[in-house]
Amino acid sequence: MSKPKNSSAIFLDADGVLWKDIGSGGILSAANHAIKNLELLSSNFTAPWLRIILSNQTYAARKNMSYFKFKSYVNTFFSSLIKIGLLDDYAICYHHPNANNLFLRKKCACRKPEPGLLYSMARKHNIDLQKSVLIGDRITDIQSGSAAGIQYLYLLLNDRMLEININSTHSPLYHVFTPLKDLKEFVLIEKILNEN
Amino acid sequence: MKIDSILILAAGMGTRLKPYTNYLPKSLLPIGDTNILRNLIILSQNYFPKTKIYVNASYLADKIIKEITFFPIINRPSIIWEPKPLGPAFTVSEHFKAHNHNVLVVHGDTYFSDLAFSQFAHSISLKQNDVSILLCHERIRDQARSQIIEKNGVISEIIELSPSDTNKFFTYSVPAVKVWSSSGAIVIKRNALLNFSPESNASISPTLVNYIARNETLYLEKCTAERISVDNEKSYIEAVKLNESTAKLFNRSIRN
Repeated sequence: MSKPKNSSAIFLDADGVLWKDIGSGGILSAANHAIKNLELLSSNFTAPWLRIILSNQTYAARKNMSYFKFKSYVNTFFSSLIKIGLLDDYAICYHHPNANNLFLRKKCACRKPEPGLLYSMARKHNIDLQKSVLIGDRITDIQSGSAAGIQYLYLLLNDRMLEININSTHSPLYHVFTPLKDLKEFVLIEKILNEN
Repeated sequence: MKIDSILILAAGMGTRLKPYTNYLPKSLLPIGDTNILRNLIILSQNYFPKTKIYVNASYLADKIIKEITFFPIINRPSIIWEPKPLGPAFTVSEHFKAHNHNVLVVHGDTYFSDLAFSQFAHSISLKQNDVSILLCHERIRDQARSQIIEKNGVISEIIELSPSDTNKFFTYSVPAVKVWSSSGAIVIKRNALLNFSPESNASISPTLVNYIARNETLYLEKCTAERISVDNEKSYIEAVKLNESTAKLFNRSIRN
């Protein structure tokens, strides 16, 4: 994973982008969809973009599975995608401010819409966030990207895309993004990025 | 003069066009085979190719977002989504804070004929220096919602009248007298809004226009071709007719 300094990245949300959002724990049955969509992405992007997943995963926080078992599953899952070259890295927030699991009950800086996950990945890989891309399916994804200074923010169309996190204390007055019909439109995004 | 971005204001509720606007924002009301927003985006892309376009949306924003995906991702406009409408002057002011460059701001309720938009675009491209320009058309004074006070093509003030004022304010005047009125498009040059901080819900006309007129030089640009501000049923029907006539002119098909 030795990428040049000040590299650019494409940050992807998981639920709703790599696979259909079926609620908390969707990752447990997402393998085929994730591979299919990451293959689509990898076949179209020829430039040296880091491909990084950023995701809020609250399945353990809701006490549907033990934190250690769930974390182990998530690590194994994403590591397998890295091994087959479909992914470069991933960053997960397991917290929730109202978690049933007290260990994970936390108002953290990493849960989207906060930009913590983006900052940690930017530090780790020396990523130029301004030249990077984020694709999400919720306005909280856009908020997090905007707070981190990402220039190219894409929002996938779905019925919940404009839902606002009412617990967010500093929700901006407006959000700027480009809407995406579907993942197939990835094909042409690279052209836009290369032109800029 | 180069336009760096185009901002289309489409967040309004279209109150005066209810019930048409109960389920569709005003900028998406069908006008033949198109709508105001689509027409504005196509004209902008034709006459300002490679210029980034932003559309602000609030009321029924999901419908505007879906409409935007009609355009290929390569040159798809970006959305500025306001969960609560901020007011057009505030939206423009925030856009300037993010990008202090030359911006063309167009009201999302203005249906421009190809000729009117192309003339404006051509005139902008001929300017040697960056300038602020308000597009204006002539109207009979009694019917003008906004009235421009200018001298030698430089605007000193714009006066905005409510619909009832336009009937009673000039009852003593000669009906045939014509005045310049705002046409719904303004070019704002970089640095023109550096210290502009409008109250929420402030409008472009008069608040923003008068700020520029008082602090900078604001030039009047004459719009002689057809454009219609769709703000009531009558003007909506006029816009539909204008689309039909220009469709015949350019041999475009009309889908009913």
